[in-house]
Amino acid sequence: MSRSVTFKIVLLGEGCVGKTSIISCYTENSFNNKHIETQQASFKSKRLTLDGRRVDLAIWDTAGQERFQALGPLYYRDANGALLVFDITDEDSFSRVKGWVKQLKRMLGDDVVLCIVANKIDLEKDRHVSIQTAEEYAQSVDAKLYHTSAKLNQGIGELFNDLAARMLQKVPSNSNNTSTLRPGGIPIQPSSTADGNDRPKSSTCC
Amino acid sequence: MLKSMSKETINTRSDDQFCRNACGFYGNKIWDGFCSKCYREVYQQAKQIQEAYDGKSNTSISESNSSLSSSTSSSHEKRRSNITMPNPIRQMVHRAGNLRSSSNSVISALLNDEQTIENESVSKYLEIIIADDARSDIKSQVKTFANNFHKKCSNKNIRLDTLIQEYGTFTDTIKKRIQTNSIYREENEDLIHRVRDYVESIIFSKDYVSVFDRIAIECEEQDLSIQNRISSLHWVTPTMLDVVLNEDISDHRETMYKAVNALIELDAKTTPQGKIHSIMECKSFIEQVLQSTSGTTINADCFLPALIYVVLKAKPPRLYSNIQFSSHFSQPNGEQLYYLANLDSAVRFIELLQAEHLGLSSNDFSLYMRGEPVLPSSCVSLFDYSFENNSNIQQLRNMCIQCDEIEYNSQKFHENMTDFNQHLVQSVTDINELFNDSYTRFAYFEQIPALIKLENIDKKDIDLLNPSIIENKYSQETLESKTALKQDIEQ
Repeated sequence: MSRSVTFKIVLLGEGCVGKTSIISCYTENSFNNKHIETQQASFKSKRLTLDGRRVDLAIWDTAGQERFQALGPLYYRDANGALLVFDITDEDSFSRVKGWVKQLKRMLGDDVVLCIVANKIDLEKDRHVSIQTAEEYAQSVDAKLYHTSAKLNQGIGELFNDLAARMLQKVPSNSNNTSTLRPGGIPIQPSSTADGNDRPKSSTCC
Repeated sequence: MLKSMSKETINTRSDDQFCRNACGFYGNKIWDGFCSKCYREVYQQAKQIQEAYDGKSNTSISESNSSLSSSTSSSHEKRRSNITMPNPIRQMVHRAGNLRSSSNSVISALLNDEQTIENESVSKYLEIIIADDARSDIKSQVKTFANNFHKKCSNKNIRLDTLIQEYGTFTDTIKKRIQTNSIYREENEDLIHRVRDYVESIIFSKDYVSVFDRIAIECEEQDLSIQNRISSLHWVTPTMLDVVLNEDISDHRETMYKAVNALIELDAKTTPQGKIHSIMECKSFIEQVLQSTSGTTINADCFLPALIYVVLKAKPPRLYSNIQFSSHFSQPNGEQLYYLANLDSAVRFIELLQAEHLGLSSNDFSLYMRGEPVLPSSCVSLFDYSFENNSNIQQLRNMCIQCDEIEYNSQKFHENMTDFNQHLVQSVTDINELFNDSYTRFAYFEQIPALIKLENIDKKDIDLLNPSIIENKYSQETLESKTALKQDIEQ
């Protein structure tokens, strides 16, 4: 059996910024959609080959409503990559991205590959978040900025390919990383987790 | 409502779930089927006798007890304090263990002959293995581990952490073995999952109860608190959570029941995969409902609220323990892990739930929590007295004025009619006289028949025209209603 690397990607963004469209656009379009009975885009997996290595992406959608903010840490524990989506026509969605970046950094440190995604570039005329602001912010938090339009299927494939490549760089090429998806266990008490997780445990209620 | 209807179809082990004392709490096999509180009460006497009997040997008992119920970081301190101050609960747990071991042998005798279970599992999961040596390799590996694990489970001194770790290491090694050992070269990729199911069926047919009970003891408090929390939140509606759900459509309601049932059955499943399977079943029912209501692609934004609603309706028994068990012992694939995390966060959300999460004022929220009736905000305007009443009074006033006008006008009309009546009688008499005059003067004239006979007019037509009769009737009524209205206003 050939070896593959599994990466977990979390998708964060306010409602209506186009998270769902990005997922479905990426996972269905490019492989000329095989029909799925129930259309769900909350969890998707995608297999691709990069530099001769097989990469499995597990894409986790998260609920973007404000009221679920405190649940975030349950979703992005052990994530390898994070997509932070905002709508270029909506300034609020951009400021919420900043909140998530802070939370992610606190939870996962520098282990996580951050992508800030400026979605809906087809609505350039209504732009409220300037490219420069977004770019400067992305640099300040060591993230990369991507411009996409899920509607026109622009930049989506590139986004995920680039993200996968960046995540691969973080993993030593000879290690078998299938254990990424071994459940870290939702700890009863921090001391009782079986596989010693030496990441700083931050409180889940923030 | 959801719950009562669903009860018939659920297959839970309700008999052994609840305390034998029927106090409403969950019982635990460790406590002989009682809950911790009843166990304490029932065995109080026995304990005292035991204590008297044991006398000086207290210290040694408590020492062995402390390691069983530990897994807290401060177990060392506890152990020290236990030597001087024996904890009655711990002692009981220990004693329960002794009591249980006798019943355990009966259960296992009833349940199975180990060999048959193994054979069944082999034919179920390992049939697809092509090479015989691969199959026997797995069988022997699993058997050795299972015996080892079983011994550890029966030993009260071995902590849950250790069991979790042992199990994890074993599943990892067997996975690695399958991936690297040459005898598995030819096998299907699916083999890892098959072997996982095989391992689970062998291990947990024997040791599920003792493993799960350890977790259930540790999580008893959380289990109860989440249970109570869900009970106190029974009033939450889909709208409050922004769930697009129309429970009036019977199809949707049915599917929701199924989702609720799947979640309740979580506790009855005795293998990690079985539990994961229940969660996935619940998930697909929820998706089915959401799909048919909203018609759009389901994302986390609409799935999570729906799951929270289902958890609230299902009130799954020992939910916390079950999540812990699944996350420690199952080896979910990516998707299953995702939904396990979703269930966990639904529970977390319910724990943290506050007024603003449901779009309620904190006042309304506390009213709901105390079980007092609260008007949904959309209905409040209907009952807004100050506003609606004012306009009612105004309307009453207007009607009174109109009444007065009608009365006044009808009186006038009455007078006019009497006048007209007199005029008419006068003119008819005049004309008649004129005719009579002419007849007498010109005798040869043929007499014209009287056009109007005054007598008739007097008796019938005039009466008809005379409005006073009708009018009187009306005015009587209006007057009555008017005074009634006026009284209303005054009130």
